[in-house]
Amino acid sequence: MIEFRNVSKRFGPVVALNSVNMEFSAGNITGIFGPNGAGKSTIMKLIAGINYPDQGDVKLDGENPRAKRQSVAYLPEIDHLYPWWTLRQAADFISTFYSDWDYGRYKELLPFLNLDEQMIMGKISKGQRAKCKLLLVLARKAPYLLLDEPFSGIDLLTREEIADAVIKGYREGEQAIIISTHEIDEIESLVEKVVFIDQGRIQLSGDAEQLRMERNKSLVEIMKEVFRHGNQQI
Amino acid sequence: METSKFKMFKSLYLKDLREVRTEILVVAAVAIILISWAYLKTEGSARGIIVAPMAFALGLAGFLPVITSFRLLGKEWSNNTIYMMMSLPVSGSMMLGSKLAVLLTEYLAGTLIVLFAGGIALLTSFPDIWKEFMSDPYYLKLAIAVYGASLAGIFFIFCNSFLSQVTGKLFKKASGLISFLVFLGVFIIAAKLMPDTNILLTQSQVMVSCSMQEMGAILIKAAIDLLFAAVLFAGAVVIWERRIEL
Amino acid sequence: MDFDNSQPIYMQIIDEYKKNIIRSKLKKGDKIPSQREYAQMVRVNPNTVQRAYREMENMDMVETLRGQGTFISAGEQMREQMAKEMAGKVMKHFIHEMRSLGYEDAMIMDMLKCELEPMEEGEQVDRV
Repeated sequence: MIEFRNVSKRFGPVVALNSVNMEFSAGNITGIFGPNGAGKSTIMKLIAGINYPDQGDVKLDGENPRAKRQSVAYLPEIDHLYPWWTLRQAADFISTFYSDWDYGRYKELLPFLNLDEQMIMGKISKGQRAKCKLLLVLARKAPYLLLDEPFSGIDLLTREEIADAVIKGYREGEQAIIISTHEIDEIESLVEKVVFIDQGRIQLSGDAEQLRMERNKSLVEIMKEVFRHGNQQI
Repeated sequence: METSKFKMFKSLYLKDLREVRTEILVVAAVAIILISWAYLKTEGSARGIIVAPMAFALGLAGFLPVITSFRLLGKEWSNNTIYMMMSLPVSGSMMLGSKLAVLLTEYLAGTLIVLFAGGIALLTSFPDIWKEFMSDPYYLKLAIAVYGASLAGIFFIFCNSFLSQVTGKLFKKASGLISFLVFLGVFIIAAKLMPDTNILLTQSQVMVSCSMQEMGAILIKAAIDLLFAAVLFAGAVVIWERRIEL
Repeated sequence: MDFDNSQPIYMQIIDEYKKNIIRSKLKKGDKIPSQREYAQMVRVNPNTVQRAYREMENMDMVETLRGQGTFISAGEQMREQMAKEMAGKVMKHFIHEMRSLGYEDAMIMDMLKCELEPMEEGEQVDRV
């Protein structure tokens, strides 16, 4: 379980998160939705242990996130793979650090994502690199999977491949997947829980099906409504 | 997958070793070309000139790793691979330790290649001096002590480089300038703390001590350098683990 | 399958199965995809599919046999009942919407007749 308790974080004058409280539990796919700069990436970085809260606590299974890095598979928005790496070299490197690495799953996902082991990270398209990044986190049986903007700047077909691979790789009941994106369309039917965040605050959160039932609206429409409402308060 | 600390260290080490291959080859090429040029162009006692290209190549072998120490860490940020490094489940000491090991490898490989190439050239030119050197074990011990002291000195510089860089990374603006100031500042503070062992003058002081055959002075100097290096390394690790954010 | 994202997806999955049973595309004893296969097929959260399947089991529409898979268990009687139910729902919705537009029942009847005529020449209402 991941817990945020009154978490605030600022970067210089910019307030990234403003006393955020939330929980993520195993067996769920959660979507964190919000416009650019809403604080989505900061949430991911706090869980990955590469940002620290100014106030409040972030706990992973009751511990400091940095002590639990073994349990987290983190896909940052940024391209974080060495440009000279082949996909295979990246896989071999990463596999030495995580006991949950599964070569069988890696081999299975390669053709599924139309990837080749010999691809060089610095020489492939953005879409292919996005898929490589995804493959490298899905090949782990990590309890927590963080996907930060996995679709940004990616063509439609590749987005579908990515969404398919997430479903294929998802292990029900055991894994918590958190996907942050400002493009809800792609994962409307993928997420079970949703958190709408804007200006560092949670504007709305809950069960996706429940929200559809109550409001007779899609998540995209709900987001528009929530954020329009949120902006009026300023 | 089985994981072990050793495998992790090896992975990190091999990944960065790639970054220093070219430098090692450059040092080797410079040393071999210059020394053989001096060797072939001279005869008899004039071959003593070989010491000059050797000194130059040694300087290069010592200087390049210092440059590398900045590149090795800085590149993680400029390539965004720092996101990968920081999220790996390894301690700061293993992360920085693996980089230290790579830099040490570069220094050892470079200097040993130069010493070996120069040694052969001198040995064949002046067999008598060689005989005299080998006749008294004290000379060999002294040579090893001097080399050891140079290692301690370079460790100090590497650790200072790490500390100054991670300190610079704590600031969004002017982080390069801050790194540079910390780098210089640490040298000045170290020199102030230990007035008799001016670290800025490590090499020349060692030379003086060496010519006076003061083994004890050399070893004390090395020990102090190592102590400073350890403190700087620990500081860099603490900052890496607790303060660096992305 | 395309979902209407403004409605709960698990209900749409159930409705899809109901329609297939009503149109006899699926009959008692037919095997249906496993939850995992289905989730991948339609690109939906596996837990949502699980919820739909669980509800269908509770309604005795399907049954899951250990190690064998999930099968349609709805018989003829249930098929008729579901058809009536779904048709009723569609009708209610239609009438409600028409009335909210201000149409009188008689006008609705006329319009229906008018609209239905071209369809009598064998056009199928059935769209997949």
